Amino acid sequence: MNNIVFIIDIKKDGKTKKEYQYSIDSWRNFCNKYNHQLYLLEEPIVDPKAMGVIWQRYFLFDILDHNEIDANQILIVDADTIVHPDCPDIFELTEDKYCLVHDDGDFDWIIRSMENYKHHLFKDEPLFNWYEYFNSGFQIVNNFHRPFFNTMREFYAANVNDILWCQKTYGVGTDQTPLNYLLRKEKIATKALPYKFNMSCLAAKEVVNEDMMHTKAGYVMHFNGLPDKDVSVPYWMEKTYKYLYG
Amino acid sequence: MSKNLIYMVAINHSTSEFLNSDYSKYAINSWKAWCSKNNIDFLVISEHDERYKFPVWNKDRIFEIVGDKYDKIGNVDSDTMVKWDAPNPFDLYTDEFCGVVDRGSLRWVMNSINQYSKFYDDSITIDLDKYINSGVTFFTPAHRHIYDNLIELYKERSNELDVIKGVGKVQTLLNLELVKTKTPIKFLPPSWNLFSIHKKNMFKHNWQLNLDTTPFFVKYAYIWHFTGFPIENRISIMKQVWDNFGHLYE
Repeated sequence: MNNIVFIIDIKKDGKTKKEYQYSIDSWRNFCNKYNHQLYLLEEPIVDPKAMGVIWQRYFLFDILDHNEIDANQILIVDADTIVHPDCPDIFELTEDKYCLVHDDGDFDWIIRSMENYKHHLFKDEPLFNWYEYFNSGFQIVNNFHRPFFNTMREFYAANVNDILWCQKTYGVGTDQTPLNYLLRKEKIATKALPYKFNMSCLAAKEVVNEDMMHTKAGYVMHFNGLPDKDVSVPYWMEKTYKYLYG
Repeated sequence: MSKNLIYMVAINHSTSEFLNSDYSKYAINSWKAWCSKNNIDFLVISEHDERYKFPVWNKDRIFEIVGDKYDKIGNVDSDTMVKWDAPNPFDLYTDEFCGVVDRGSLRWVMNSINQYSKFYDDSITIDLDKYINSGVTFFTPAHRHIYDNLIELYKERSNELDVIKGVGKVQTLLNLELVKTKTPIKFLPPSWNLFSIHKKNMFKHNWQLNLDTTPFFVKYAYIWHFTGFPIENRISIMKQVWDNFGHLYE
């Protein structure tokens, strides 16, 4: 069975964003190196007006079934990441657990998200440790997690109005915080991989600079949390890809 | 009965533009009250050892000063404050060396490692995910050799060490020494050494729900480390914290 790297690449105006293509190309290199398969979700499963594109990643197993892809482990990774060519084979680190990386960024945003979602949608769930909050932009799962993906979708279906209200009112994320609560509620065995495998909020770590220090800090660079993101994210993703891959 | 110690270096010195006591008084207030409440000895080193150019090196003298009489020791910076009702960190470990991973500025950390690695063999390398902040550490007398080695290193190479600027002094050397001596490390949650509070954006409270105006750093951390910003800001911030919460230590 294959291991799969799964990236959402739903086109806008028929085109992949230029910077996302760099992400895809870097992950294609990773897949070629370790003999894994790259899968791009290029069309939404349901109308994005009914369910945001990010939430649609929890159709993963249905998508794989529909395409008759028999997968061992699947890495779901955001298209604003670039993997370093020296990255080891991530799938060998998982111990068959649900693997994620703790977010290390703006904890005002994270804590407000945790508290606000709890207040409105997870009243009966305990508040968990803020430093154990996972970033959903990098998740490794396997077949054992099929039921949990159903849980995520069922939760969305049952609470869609409240979820959309929270998203719109507070601006504290889409699936990420519900994922954190539901992983704990469902007692899913998780493994936190080191920060180097999903380096979030790199700008705050002061390494995103013309000397390309961020390319020496770890293996998976996540270009979130950059100021002036409409300009900076395309700029740094292109520059990083060309620096690492020529 | 076990006896534990909190050790702090708080020295006014001509190499510093600001008086250490201008901010360490708030740190000392908090630790003194907390230690008293928890039956833990508290030792403040306010006299500089003239072997050293900069007062921060006095952190390494800990076992020269206290010997082996304590079961467990915490070495805390003079810009830290402990929350009035923090649980006892000495209950968190048995015999490991304890610290919090520091990636407040990976640029600073990576530059610092580049600068200080020359004092060690090429085989000694630091994993960035295991690099700890030295401002709050916990250990036992079994770790004495680490500090003996650091004192010896300074004795032999102080001329080279004291000219290095902008990448810290004791912290990266401690990390290199931990790697060299293959010391098992227990990584504590950041709530036990909350540094770069401004970059973590934890001076704020939940202004959206507005049910609780307690700043996040107070609400969700036990040891606050006021570092990463100019010293004049440190003085005013630590004063504000003491003015707002000092009565809770009584």
